[in-house]
Amino acid sequence: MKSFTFSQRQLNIVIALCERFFRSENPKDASPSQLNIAAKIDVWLAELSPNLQSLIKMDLWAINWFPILFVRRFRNFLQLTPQEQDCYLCKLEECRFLTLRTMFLALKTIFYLNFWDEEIPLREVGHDFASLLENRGRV
Amino acid sequence: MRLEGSQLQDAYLEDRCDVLVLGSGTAGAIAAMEAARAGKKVILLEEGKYFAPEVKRNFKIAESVRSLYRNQGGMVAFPWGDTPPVVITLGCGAGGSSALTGGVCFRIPDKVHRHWAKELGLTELALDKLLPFYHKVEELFSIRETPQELRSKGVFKFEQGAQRLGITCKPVKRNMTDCRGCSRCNFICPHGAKQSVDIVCLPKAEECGAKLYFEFRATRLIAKNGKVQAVAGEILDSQKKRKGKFTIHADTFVLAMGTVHTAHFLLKNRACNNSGLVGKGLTLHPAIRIYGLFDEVLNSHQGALQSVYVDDFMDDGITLIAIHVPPNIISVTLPGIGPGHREFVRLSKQMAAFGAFYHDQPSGRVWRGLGREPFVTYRLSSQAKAGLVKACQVIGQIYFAAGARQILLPIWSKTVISSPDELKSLTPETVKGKWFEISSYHPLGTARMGLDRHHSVVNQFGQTWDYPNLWISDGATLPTSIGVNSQEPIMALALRNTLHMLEVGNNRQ
Ligand SMILES: Cc1cc2nc3c(=O)[nH]c(=O)nc-3n(C[C@H](O)[C@H](O)[C@H](O)COP(=O)(O)OP(=O)(O)OC[C@H]3O[C@@H](n4cnc5c(N)ncnc54)[C@H](O)[C@@H]3O)c2cc1C
Ligand code: SF4
Repeated sequence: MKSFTFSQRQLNIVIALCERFFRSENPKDASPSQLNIAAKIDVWLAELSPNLQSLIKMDLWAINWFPILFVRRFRNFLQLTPQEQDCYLCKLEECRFLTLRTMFLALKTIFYLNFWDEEIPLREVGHDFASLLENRGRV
Repeated sequence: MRLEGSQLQDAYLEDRCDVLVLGSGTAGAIAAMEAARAGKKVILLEEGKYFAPEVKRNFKIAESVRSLYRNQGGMVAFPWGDTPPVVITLGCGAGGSSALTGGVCFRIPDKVHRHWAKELGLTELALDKLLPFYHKVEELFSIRETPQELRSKGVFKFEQGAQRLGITCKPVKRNMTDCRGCSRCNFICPHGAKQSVDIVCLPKAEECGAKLYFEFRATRLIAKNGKVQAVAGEILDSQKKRKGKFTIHADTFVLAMGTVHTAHFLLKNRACNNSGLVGKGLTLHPAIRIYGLFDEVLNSHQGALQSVYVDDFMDDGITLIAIHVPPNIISVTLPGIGPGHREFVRLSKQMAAFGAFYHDQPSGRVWRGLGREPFVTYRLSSQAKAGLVKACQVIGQIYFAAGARQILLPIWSKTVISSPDELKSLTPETVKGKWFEISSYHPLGTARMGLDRHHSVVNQFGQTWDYPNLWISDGATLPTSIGVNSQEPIMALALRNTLHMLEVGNNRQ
C-alpha cells in the first residue's frame, strides 16, 4: 500500500495498531485489513496541516518505542507479540502519565472516528446503519 | 460574490471596502449581514473553507470533523496545576462554530446581567438594554422550544430518574425549523433544519452585495495615525499552506475570529493591549459527558441532540444539559480497545447521555505562541473540580434512580460505576482534577468590555479603546463567563454592536 502521509515504517505501525484496535472475537466479523481502514486513516490524515501531521507522526514514534517503559521488553511495538501489543495498549489507556495517556487517546480517537464511520462494523455490532445513513430521526 | 483562496490564480490580492469583517462565525456573519443591509461595501474574510450547504449536509461524520473543525477538533488548552488538557472545539469554515452547535439558545441569566450592570458598572449590558436584541435574534434565527416529541428515549429515562429525585427538567430552546431529531447537529444538520449563521446570514449578506473571501487568513493589522488602515494576511491552498498574500483597506474593521483567535491576532500585532488584558481572563465552561447504561434498547440518537436542561444547580455553578450524538461518534468516546471496545459500542444502543458544564471564573490565557496557532493554557480551579464531581454525582444518581445498570464517567480509573454506593465514594478529595476528560465549547472573555482603557480592551459596544475604527464583536468581549451556552448572547451583542457601529459611522459622516 502506498501512503499519502506516512513513511513505510509509520504505515506499518498504523496497520499494526488497526489490527489491535479493531480486533473482534467473532471470526465472522470483517478484519481491519479487509475493511482497508489503515488506508482510510491515511487519506483522512493527508488533508491535515503539516504541523498536525508531524504531531501524529511523533505520537506514532512514541507509541512504537514506549513498550520499553511499560512491558519491560527491549523491543518496539512492531516487535511485540499480538498479546503483548494488546496488553501494552491497555496500559497506555490506563496510564498514570497524563501526557502519554493524552497522546494515546488522541490517536485512538482518530482511528475510531474513521472506523466507526464505516457501515460494516456498525452493522456487526447491531446498529441500524441505513437509518443512520439517511439520518432518520425521531419524527 | 464569493472567492475561495484555493481556487485563485493570483498570488497577490488587494481590495478596498467600507467595512472589513474578520471571521464568518456567529458574530462575523451577523456584522457582515447588517453592514451590507445598511448599504456598506462589505468584505468578510474567513480562514476556513467554503462548502455549499447541499454538499456539507452529505458529509460523513469523519469528513465533517476533518473539514469544519479547527485542527480537526484537536485544539488543546495546556493544563496548569491539577488540570487535564482541555479540548477546545471550534469551527473553522463558513459559519464558524455556529455551523456546529447543538442549536441550544439561552439568554444570559438575569443574575449575570445584574452582576455586569450593578457590580461592574456596565449599564449598557443590563437586561432591559439587551432585550430588544434578544427578541430580534430569536425571530431571525427561529429560536423556539424543542417540542416534546423530539426528546429521545434516553432523555425520557433521565426525566424519570430526575422526577423521582425531585429535580426538574426544562425544555431547551433551539434555532430550528422542522427539526427531525437525528442528533447530528454537531456535524452539520443534514436536513437544513438548524438555522445557523451560514444558512441565515451569509446568503443575505451576499445578496446585499457583501464579498465573502474564504481560505483567507488575516495575520497583520496595519495602523497609522491612530487608525487602522488595512489588514493583511495569507491566501491559503486546500492544505492550509500559504499560496499568496492579500491586503484589504477599509474604513471600519470588525474582529470576529472567536475568543481564542481574536486575542491571538491582537497579541501578534501588539495591538489594543494598554490594559495588558488581551488574552487574559479566558473562561472555558469546562464540560463533561456521562452515560447511563440500561437493560433495554434506547437508541437515544433518535431525538434532538439536545432537548432538555436542568438549572436546579446553577447556584453551584453547574448547568446540566441533554446531549446524545450518533453511535459513530459516541463509540469514539468509549473505553477499551479490541473486543472490549466493540462490546461497549454494541451496548451504546442501551445508553443515555447527559452533559454538564461549570460556570467558571477566569483561569485561562491565550498566548502568542510560536507558530500560526495560539498557545492556550487553563487551570481548573478547586471550585470547578468540585462542581464537576458534583455534576457526576447528580447525573449518576438520576440514572441509577431511573434504573441504570451502570454509569460511565469521564474520570480516569473511575470510568465504570456499578452502584450508587460506589458513586458516593467520589468526592473532590478522592478525585484529582487531572483525571477528568474535559472539553470546552464556549470559550469567552479574552478581550473584555469595560468602562476604561486601563481595565478592559473594548468599550461596552465593542469599540476598541486604541483605534476608533476597530471593533470586536465575538465571544472575546464578554466580561465574565455566563453559565449558559453562548451563541444567543453573542448573536444579540453582535447585532447591537454592529447597529451601534453603523450609527457612530453615520454620525461621523
Ligand atoms: C461543537 C460546538 C457545539 C456548540 N454548541 C452550542 C450550542 O448548542 N449552543 C450555544 O449557544 N453555543 C454552542 N457552541 C458555542 C458557539 O458556537 C460559540 O460560542 C459561538 O459560535 C462563538 O461565536 P464567535 O463569533 O465568537 O466565533 P466563531 O463562531 O468560532 O467564529 C470565528 C470564525 O473566525 C474564523 N477565523 C479565526 N481566525 C481567523 C483569521 N486569522 N482569519 C480569518 N478568519 C479567522 C474562524 O475560522 C471562525 O470561522 C458550540 C460550539 C461548538 C464548537
Ligand atoms: S437534530 Fe437532526 S434535524 Fe434536528 S437540527 Fe439537529 S441535525 Fe438537524
